[in-house]
Amino acid sequence: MGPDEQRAHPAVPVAEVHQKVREVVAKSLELKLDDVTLESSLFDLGAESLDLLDMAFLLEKEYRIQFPRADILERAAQHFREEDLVVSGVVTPLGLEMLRRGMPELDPTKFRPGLKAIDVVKMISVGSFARITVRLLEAKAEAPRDCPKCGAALVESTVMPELECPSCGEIVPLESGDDILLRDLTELFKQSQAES
Amino acid sequence: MADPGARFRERVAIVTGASRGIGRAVATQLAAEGARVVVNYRQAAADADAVVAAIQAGGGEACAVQADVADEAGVRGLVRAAAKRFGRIDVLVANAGVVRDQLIGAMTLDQWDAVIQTNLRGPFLCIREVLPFMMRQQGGSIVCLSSIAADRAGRGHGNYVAAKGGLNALVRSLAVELAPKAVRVNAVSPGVILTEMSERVRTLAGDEILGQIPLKRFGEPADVARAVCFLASDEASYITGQILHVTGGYGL
Repeated sequence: MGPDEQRAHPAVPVAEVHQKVREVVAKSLELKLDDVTLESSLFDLGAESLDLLDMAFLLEKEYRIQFPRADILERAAQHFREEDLVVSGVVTPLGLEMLRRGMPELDPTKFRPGLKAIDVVKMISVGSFARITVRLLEAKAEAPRDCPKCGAALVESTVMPELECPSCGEIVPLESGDDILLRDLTELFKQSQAES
Repeated sequence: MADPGARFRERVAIVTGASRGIGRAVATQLAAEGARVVVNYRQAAADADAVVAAIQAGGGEACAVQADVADEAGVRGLVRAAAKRFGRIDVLVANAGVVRDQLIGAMTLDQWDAVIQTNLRGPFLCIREVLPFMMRQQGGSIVCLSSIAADRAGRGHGNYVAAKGGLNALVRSLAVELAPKAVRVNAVSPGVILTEMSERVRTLAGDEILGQIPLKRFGEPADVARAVCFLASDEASYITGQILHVTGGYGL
């Protein structure tokens, strides 16, 4: 399943997100929009880690989402034992399976035995960012929108990725992207355990 | 009204610990040069209100926001309030600091933590929270208030020198880390300035220190404020990662 075929919550404008993510990447890396496709590897486009953060900040403002700060293996390592995922810098079979399932926009044949953890970052594509953005928008669309304090309908903050109550002023943080994606990974892990 | 050609016209600045001392002088100077200023304070609400009133009386724009810079949620609230009120953040002056002097053998963990939390963790939290705004605006200037104590051996304030030494190292590293996004990070390192914070040291060893200051006087908060404003302004657009000493030559 490529990013274009990603099935999303009906409230999420997937095509618009794809376009916006390409624009954000082009802006952040000072590239022409035509040079940025969903398949482009961010590494190949010349992005450094600070650029990824810059893109995350731009998308957070655009869509009022809280982008994850950890990369996929770091995220997985928070929940699983790191030695289950990476041994001596090389991704384990379980780690490969997590990547295959957790990053379906990438060519699965790239997740070969012997893959080095450091090379995973190089595989992150523009589509990866789009996919994360869509996933966070889905989670936001499904999140409760009532103030936990007074019950009034929450509105999105104009300045930060959070919700606020126009009635009592309560600030409700959005679920962090790290937590959402970790939850997804945990689900994938359970599935892969059940299948094996 | 601010001069239309002023250095900080249309700019928004957050100054932490701005109710008194050097912070107050920085907030006032920034406002006098056209900045819209968020006057942060932790406890001294009346003093912060007085700073805001003085800025407004001079035709400037400012608001007071309470937050403990060592508190993550508090700093987020500070930046949220600044962004809501003024829509952008161009300058951060990480000034808030405390002292809890004690010989290391007698220092309590609370004394150690209080200084490290406010003087080192505080700048980290503030910088982290303003970065999304500065990076999206494709530029910003951060000035941290360090201290000559970071460079000079001295007794009785191991917590303070560790925090300020750490802060200098942080400034240099962040200057390199953030330069690609046009965010500059510098520090001003004051010597002995005529503030409440230095009162004790001036009482204990004022004459001795004065004898070692080539310019033969203690500094005024405004001396420091002018250096901070220079580094925060576009006039310093090619300067990053520097620790500018404002000491009257003390310690050379």
